[in-house]
Amino acid sequence: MKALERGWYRMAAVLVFAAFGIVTTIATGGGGGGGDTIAPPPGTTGPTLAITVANGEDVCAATVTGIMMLFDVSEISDPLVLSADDAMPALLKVGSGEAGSEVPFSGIVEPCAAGGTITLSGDVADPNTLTVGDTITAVFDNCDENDGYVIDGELELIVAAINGDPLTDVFLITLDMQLTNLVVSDASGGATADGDMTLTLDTLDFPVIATALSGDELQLSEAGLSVTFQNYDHTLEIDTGLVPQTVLAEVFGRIGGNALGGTVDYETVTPIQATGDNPPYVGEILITGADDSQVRIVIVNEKLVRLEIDEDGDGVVDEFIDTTWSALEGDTTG
Amino acid sequence: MASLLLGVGVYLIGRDWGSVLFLQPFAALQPSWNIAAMPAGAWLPSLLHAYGFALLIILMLRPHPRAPVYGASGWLLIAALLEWLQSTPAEALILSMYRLPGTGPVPGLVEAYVIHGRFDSGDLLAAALGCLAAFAAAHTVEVPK
Repeated sequence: MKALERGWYRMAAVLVFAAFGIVTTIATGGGGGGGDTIAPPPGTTGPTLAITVANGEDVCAATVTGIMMLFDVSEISDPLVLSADDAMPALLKVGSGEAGSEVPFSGIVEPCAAGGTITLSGDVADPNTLTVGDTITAVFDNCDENDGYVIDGELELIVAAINGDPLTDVFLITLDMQLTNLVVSDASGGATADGDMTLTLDTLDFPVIATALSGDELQLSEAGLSVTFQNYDHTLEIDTGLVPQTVLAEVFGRIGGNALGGTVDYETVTPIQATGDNPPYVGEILITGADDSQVRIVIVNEKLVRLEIDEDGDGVVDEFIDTTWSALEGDTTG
Repeated sequence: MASLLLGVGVYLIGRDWGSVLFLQPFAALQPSWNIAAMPAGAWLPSLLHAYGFALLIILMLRPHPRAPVYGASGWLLIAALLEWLQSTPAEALILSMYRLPGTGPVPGLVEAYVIHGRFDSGDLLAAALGCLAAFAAAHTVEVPK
């Protein structure tokens, strides 16, 4: 019996030493000449794509295109969730009690104007208005509301904050949203969103409309381009009281995707400003890749964007590339 | 234990502390001199680490008659697996489990080890030599009854 016990103790000791050996191997980065490159702090990792003179322009193009795709999502999401007109009022109808007065509710099928349906379920504190903590899940089945696009997929939202009445022009609402394979298709093709997004729409200073988009991870796909945002935080402020309207944007986050082949971090150093639908005329975005490699997108004016590539992050620009915002938006494949 | 301490010593005097996880918190304290260019500094820790742990495991397996074989080969298997985790196919496999670093089920330290470490056949060879040395040492040294 004692021999058996000794055997177990011995085996336990072997496992402990083996585990300790594995832990020390990982903590030392693998020991030898090939393993001493573990640079990030414990528990974190940095961007994985090294920015070079060769790929700098493509990295900028993919990043700018991805950012614009994300703002496009908000353009779809805002009316989808909030518009009180006949185009897409279904989610708001739930809040205003039109979908039924019993809560929690489920399986409410709303036909879309030009085909398809929306199936709603959720729990709202007061069927006559939206309240913090309300949850609504909408499953779109090729829903066509004559807006020029068809929606398919699932959108789950929780009202995280609300101030004012969303049925008016002056309100603030924050929604925690989970998008599950939400596909928006139009004549030119389809765009897919999958992930989480916190959307804040603030019109308290109307006619200034502020939109904030943030989240842990969101994947967007469109026309063969797939980008994934991580820990992203974007804000867009539009002053609709001016003609043409002015746009102010700030972005921050990490982006990866098939056009990048790795991940890079991005942030606006100088807020991006534009008027109307014109390209931005001022702003600066810093993109940081692996090993402190960087490229700075400097918007000189509406017709000129200068890319400053610093391959090793030593502060010395290794290459200047002149391009345009339109080229960055359109050129993602290099 | 002496071999493991010697391995730690190599890290202390021969490596950039900022690039080694267990030394990273003390990186600011690292003296300006180091011997990173020393040839022995490259793979010596792998050899000493394998030698030390193979020997410790052999010790725990004693008095089993095949303890040297099991201990040395067992640790060599573990060392080979850990080195393989730093290879490109392994990195691709890990990253395929989720979309972005830091978001998946793999703990951060392991993820950093896989993504930022580099597979090196020299490490593997050093580990094999370390295990062989442990086997030889255990085989030749008689354990007191």
